[in-house]
Amino acid sequence: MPTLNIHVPDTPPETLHASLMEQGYLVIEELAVDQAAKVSAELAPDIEAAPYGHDEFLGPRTKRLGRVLARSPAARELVIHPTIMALCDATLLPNACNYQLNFTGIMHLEPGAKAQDLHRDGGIYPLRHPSPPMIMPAMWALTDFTAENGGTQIVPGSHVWEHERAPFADEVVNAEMPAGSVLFYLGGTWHGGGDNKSNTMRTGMALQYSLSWLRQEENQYLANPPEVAKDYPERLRRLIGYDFGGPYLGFHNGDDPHRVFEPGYDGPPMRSRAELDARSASIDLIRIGDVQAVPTPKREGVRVAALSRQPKLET
Amino acid sequence: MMLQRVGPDTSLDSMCAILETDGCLVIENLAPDLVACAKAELDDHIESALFGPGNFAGEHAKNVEGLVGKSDAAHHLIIHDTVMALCDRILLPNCVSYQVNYTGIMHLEPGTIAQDIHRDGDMYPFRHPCPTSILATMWAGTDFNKANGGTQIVPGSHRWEHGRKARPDEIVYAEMPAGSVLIYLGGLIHGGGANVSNTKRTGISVQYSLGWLRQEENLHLAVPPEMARTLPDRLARLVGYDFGGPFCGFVHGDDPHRLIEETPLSERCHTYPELNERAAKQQRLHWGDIKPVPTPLESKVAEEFLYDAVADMN
Repeated sequence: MPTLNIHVPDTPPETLHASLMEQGYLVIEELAVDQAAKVSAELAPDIEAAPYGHDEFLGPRTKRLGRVLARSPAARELVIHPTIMALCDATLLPNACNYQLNFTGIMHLEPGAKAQDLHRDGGIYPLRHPSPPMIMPAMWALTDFTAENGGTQIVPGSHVWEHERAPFADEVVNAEMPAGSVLFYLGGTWHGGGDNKSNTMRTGMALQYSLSWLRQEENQYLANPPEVAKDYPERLRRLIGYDFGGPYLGFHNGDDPHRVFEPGYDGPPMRSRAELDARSASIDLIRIGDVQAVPTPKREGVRVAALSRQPKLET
Repeated sequence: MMLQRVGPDTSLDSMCAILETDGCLVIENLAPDLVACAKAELDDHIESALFGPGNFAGEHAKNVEGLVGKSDAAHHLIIHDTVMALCDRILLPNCVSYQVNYTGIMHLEPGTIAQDIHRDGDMYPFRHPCPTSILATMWAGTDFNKANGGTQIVPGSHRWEHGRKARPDEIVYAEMPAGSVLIYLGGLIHGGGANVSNTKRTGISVQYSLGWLRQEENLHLAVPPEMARTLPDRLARLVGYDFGGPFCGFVHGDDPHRLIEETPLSERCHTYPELNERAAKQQRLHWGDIKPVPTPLESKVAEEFLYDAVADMN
């Protein structure tokens, strides 16, 4: 079995990003031990009360909780941890003007919980693998993760496999890491919850980030409606979706959706911000599908003005 | 190319064939009474709206969004049978479920200058041509003609090479009587026209998109749960109180529609059978130019291990 791709907390973001793109996953050991313990304490009553999964995929000895931010103030700080934000910048901004929180969830495996079928989180979008990163999940260990207690199964390198290729058992590793560590992987990486063959609980907090032009897996507006999100810091509110996904994308009343928290604002409405416009102009547009263009006729003369909302144009 | 106009009784096959080759189509007089009703309900909102800046079209134009909360007649336009049938045909090949993407008035008063032509699909960082991400409708609240700012359209441009620009002689204008609707695709080059007449031109724009994409207008803020509860089920699902596909768009680990139901069902679920069936049939799109690592022979022969994430969620 290969050794795990483990890093220490003060590793430079460029190094982390390069490693994530190469191996499709990485672990940062003990990145936020005290904060993770706080989250764990805040969520204990909700985990106690949560139902077990109703099918094999969700797990009859596994408890899941969504809407983590609404439940745990300490989790709100982990979502915007500077190391994660730097990794999101490097991993997601090449293919979007902005990124967003995609999913929050507690995955609590009790003794006897069966391993989840391996899957790719990016499978919720109708795109073939391999593809550029759409999702970057972060799985925080709220308890120690071991091979025995259901530490996440990961298939290193599988983010660049052909779409149809599925892993063999000896290609799977378990993310073993002490509480307060975090496992990152990509939307194209094969993974799944492990078997809990131990007699202890394994609790993980999954926080996923995605390209801001995709629909969120967990609807953050309904999970964190304005009357709840008003208590969050602005950075977090924007990250969960009270922001543009890019120029002209995701507005509310023709304006920045963050205005729902700015009742006194009386300036002009905006459809974008300069920062997003600049990023939009620098993004390399990407091919999707296999639609063939009609040939461009060769003609003399002037073509009309630029397509204003088109980020990048050849002349 | 010309902009093709058809009557309301034209077959769906004919309309889809035109949209495929031209990327645009006018259905004349599809819903004159309904459009007149919607316009009457929206007139006060248009009156009190501010002119630009900040809107799409400048100093003599007004945009009013959030139509679901402003006009009951607009509800019926949004779920008009003909439009829904076109969405089924045009959008469902590339998604499991489609959604309302935008609702807004495009009101051009005399003196409005022409909007820069653009593609609505350019909100997403895709190269053209690409599979259709958006189906846009522009209902004529007043007559549309070339003089009063009838939409500029470049038929066929949804299949052009990415960097190709339109020549002035390739632009046509959506001329249609009030109650008609212009349908166009997200890849079509278009823009509001210049209003050089002395009358106002009012369009009611409703767009639909693939359910896995982010909406242009945030419909969950425009239609919060307390408003969604009062809507017909089909409309509430269409604006976003539904999954975008299996495991996409849930809340409380469940169908977002449960939030607005009187009696929430007891079982948590991340999808429902109809979505699973569609997902299983879906052709996946290539995205990007990443070359996979070669698959070793033993993985190719191990067919019993072959696995697809979405299929497994069924």
